[in-house]
Order: sequence, then C-alpha cells, then structure tokens
Amino acid sequence: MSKKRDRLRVIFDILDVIREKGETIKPTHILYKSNLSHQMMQQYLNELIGKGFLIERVTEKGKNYSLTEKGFNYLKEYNKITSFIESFGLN
Amino acid sequence: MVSLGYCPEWFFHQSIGLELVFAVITLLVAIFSFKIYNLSKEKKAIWFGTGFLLFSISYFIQSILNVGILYRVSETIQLVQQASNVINLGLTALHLHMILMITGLVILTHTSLKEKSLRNFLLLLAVTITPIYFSQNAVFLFFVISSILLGFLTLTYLLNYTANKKFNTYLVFSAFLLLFLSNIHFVFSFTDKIFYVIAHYFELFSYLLILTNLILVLKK
Repeated sequence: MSKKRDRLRVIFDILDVIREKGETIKPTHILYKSNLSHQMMQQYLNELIGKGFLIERVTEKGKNYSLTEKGFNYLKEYNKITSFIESFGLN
Repeated sequence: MVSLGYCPEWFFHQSIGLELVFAVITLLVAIFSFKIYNLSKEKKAIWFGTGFLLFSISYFIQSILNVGILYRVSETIQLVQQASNVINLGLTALHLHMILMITGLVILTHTSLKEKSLRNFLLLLAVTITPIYFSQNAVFLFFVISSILLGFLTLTYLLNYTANKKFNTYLVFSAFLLLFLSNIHFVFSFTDKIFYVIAHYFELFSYLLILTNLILVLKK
C-alpha cells in the first residue's frame, strides 16, 4: 500500500467517523477513532478545514467539527479518487 | 504537406482521424482529473489534468489545422503565394503542437518527481523547448526529447506497478510503454514512412488502454 493511499485512507476514516457520529463531533472522539497522534490529527484536521471538507466550531465546551458537502462528496467518491490516483501514480 | 515526420499520403486522412480520437481521449482524462481534484483537493490531480489538457489541445490543433491545410491546398494548389501561406500556417500549427505536447510531458514528468518547485519545472521546460526552437531539424529533435521524457514516465509507471501490483496500474504502465514505443517509431519515420503509420497505431492502443482505465475508475 502506498503512502498517499494511507493518507487518503486516513482522511476517509476521519470524515467517516464524523459522518457516523452525526452532525458534530469533538476532537477527542476523532483522536480515539482515527488512531493518530494528537499532533498528526491536528495536522489532518487543519488540512481538511483548508480543503473545505470540515467546519470547525468553537463553543464554550470546546471545539467541534462537522462535515461540509465537499466532505460528504469525498466519502461518496472515495473509491474513484483512490483508484484514479493509484493507477496514474499520483501518490 | 506539413506534417510530423514523413506521413505516407495514403495515411494522411486516417492520421487526422486518429489525432481527433487522441484529442478526445486525452480531454476526457483531463476533465476527470479536474473532477478528482475538485473532490479530493489533491494538487497532483490538477497538474496531471493540465498535462493531459495540453496534449488534447495539441492534438486538436494538429488535426483541425491539417484538415484546413488539406482543404485549402486542394483549392489553391496552382497559386504559389497562397500555397506558401498555407505552409506557413501549417508550420505554426506544427510548432504549437510540439510546444504544447512537450509542456504537457514536462508537467507529467515534474508531477512524478519527489522534489517539486517552480524553478525545477521552468528548468525542465527550458532545456526541452529551447533546443527544439533553435534546431534546424525541430521535428526530429521533438520526437527524441519526447521519447526521453516518455521513457522516464514509463519507468515511473513501472515502479508504480511494481509497488502496487494491480490491473489498473498495469494498464497505465502498458499505455505509457506503448506511447514511448510510438515516439521511438516517430523518430525512425524519417528513414521509412511505414514507421509513421506504426507509431500512430501504437499511440492508438496506448490511448485505448488509458480510456479503459478511466472507464474502470468510473465504474467504482
């Protein structure tokens, strides 16, 4: 399995955890489910926010995250994305 | 007739048709690559798509202007001045085709490199396009440089296949190997016209493999 595929899979797992949880999720739950270090998880979350896949909300109880339409589309088309990227060596 | 290499007269019409097919297939790859970028925001996908878009434009330019040349040459064959204008138009199209094709190949090559920077990209572009521009035999050099870049890309896709032994990686590796062989045959088209025809059929099989891969991806 290639490095990029791992990365794409991690992104999928993070987004999938949020989808399964419902509307919003706390970072501790993502950390637990995604099996990443806190630093790595934060890097991924920042990347996913930057890409427009997630929305971060800061409340009195702390941060929470929810999926955007782009995030849902990524989950829906994940197989096509990985197949294309893998076959053309874009990893 | 202005064409790449030495095209046999009997093959001229067919080559225009084949180039249109290549233009459509490469355009489909470009469009899908942009869609993948839109879904994943992976920057490599947008570069890959741009490379294929340039291939597509270069094939369209080559085929459409060859159609134009064919039509106008048959109309103005007796008028030397107009015939000369047609040849100049053909040469412009030829140079545009070569520049776009080389730029597309440089983009794909640069995308496959681990170390990426604008400086590296511009350097690659300069060392590939400048010699062609100043060469007395630009077309021959174009095929030689294209072959080198395609050889490198074939090796990249071979490594991709060995690291990830799947049918789709094998298809893409085979497609680039055929494109590489096609360009080698174009180089030899200067010695025998039949190589020009063989090169086109290698190219056709290559793009059909890429199209097959695209269809398989779409079915996922």
